[in-house]
Amino acid sequence: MIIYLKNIWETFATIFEGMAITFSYLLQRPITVQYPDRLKQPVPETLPDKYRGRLMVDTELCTACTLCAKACPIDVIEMKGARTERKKGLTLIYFNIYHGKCMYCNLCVEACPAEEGEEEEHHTAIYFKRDFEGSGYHLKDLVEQFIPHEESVKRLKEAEELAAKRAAAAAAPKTEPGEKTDGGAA
Amino acid sequence: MTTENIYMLVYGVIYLLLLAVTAGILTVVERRIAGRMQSRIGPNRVGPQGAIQFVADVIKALQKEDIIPTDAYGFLFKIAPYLVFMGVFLTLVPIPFGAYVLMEDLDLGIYYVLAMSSYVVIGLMIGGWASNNKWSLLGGMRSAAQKISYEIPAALAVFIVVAMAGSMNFQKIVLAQGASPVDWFVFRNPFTFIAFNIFFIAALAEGNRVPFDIPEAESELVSGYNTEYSGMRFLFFFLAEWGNLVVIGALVTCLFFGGGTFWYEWVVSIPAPGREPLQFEVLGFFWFLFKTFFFVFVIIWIRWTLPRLRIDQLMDVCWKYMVPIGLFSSLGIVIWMYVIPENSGIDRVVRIVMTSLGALSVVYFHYRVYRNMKVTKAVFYANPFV
Repeated sequence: MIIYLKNIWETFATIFEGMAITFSYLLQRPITVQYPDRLKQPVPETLPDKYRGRLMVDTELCTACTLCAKACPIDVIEMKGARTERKKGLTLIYFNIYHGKCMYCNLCVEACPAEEGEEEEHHTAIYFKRDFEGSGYHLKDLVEQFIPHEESVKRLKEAEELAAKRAAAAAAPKTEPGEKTDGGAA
Repeated sequence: MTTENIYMLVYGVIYLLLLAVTAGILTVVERRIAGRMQSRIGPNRVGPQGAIQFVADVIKALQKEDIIPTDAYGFLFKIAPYLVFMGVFLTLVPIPFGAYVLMEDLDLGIYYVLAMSSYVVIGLMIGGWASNNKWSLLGGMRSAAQKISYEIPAALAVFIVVAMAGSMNFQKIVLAQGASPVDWFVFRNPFTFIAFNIFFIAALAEGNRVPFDIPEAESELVSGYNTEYSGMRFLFFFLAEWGNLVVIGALVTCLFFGGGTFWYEWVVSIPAPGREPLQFEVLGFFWFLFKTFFFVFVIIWIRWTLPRLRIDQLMDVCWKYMVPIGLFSSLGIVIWMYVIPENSGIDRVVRIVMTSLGALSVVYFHYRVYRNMKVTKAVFYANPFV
């Protein structure tokens, strides 16, 4: 009989307490945010500095050394550099990142030797943006070409022309041995 | 067709439309409240603050294909949702939303309500059986077991009210109570208070609401009796469920919380009860709606607080607790009414003590809410719109 009455009392007491708890939540602000369109500030701005979002490359800074492509364990980065008359050193012919494959391991960024000042947004040529919104309807939408296709074709042509010219220049001194030239540095 | 019949038809259509729209709005309100209780926001995109979300839901359901399983019993499968809805809608007939706002002033009003709510059981059983699906059948059987069991404590609680009021007519039950809390049946004496608790719990169980939503066991029975339904027929079950919230709220208000009686005697001195001037009638109507929707809120609130019972616990609660207590208090009320006449000194003291206890529990409840918010260091934010 005592257990019986105790059960009844506990039923009402626990329901009372539980309802007090849920009511207290009714008087609080929801902790969820309305993600895509009703935010006080965009989500990337609220993320920490070293957040690894999408992998990006600064094509101006890149020296086309291919260290990042070699460091990548799953071949996310596909790149080629060649000598053209545009600038000293190697020029990027193409630089594609397969975002669908990337696992954000940071190895490419650690490998990158091209560095800028500490105060810049990114210190290396290849870096992670804080932006993470990159969904697409097809897997091929996730391949980002940092050098547009036409530009790549143009650069490749230039590189081939230069290579042909050099080959010609390199071939020329062989016909006149004994005369030292600086053909390679032209 | 006489003029009276035409009036009844017009009233019926108005009630039907109002109930359908109210049930629709209640779905949105419930989802918003549920959201806030779970620290979410809830639907707020369709219309201002999601107010016409239910219109979008209905349009979506109307566009769906109306699938009837090949092996289902077509006719019964089709009428089951309408039986359920009819059972809920017919209970509204004798409920007085005001002295003049009711469809028919039945002398056996409450008996009629208890009888009509049984149509819901038939509808659910037919729906479950005609689907030709074992999960649906199990859901229908469970719902029948549950509803028939819980009709007994509900009837016992109603008996206590009827004994107090001396009538089964809703108008007379309301008039037997008064405007102020000391005159309400819920705080009349301990037995009516028990009757209120029993009736409220039994009404929850009859309305298939959590914590008694055994017929709709998602985890065990796919979805219970409505597994095979789609489109508008599926929606009709839910229209009935949310319409039933209004019915439960209105019944509890009528039977235990004084109905729509307003404190008109505090404003003007008109002695005859039930003959208030029209403006107080209108005020009484809104006072009734306020109480009704308060109880609707409580039911929603319980749903998002409590976990559901197991089927054996459900039957335990009914047969081992509510039925014996109901029998005990229906015996007790008879003795009480014999020993302590109405409006005697002891009766008044008991009323005031009961009302104070009720007020104290409300105060203690607010204290607990305050404590909970303080312990979790929550910031107070009562704005319902985010």
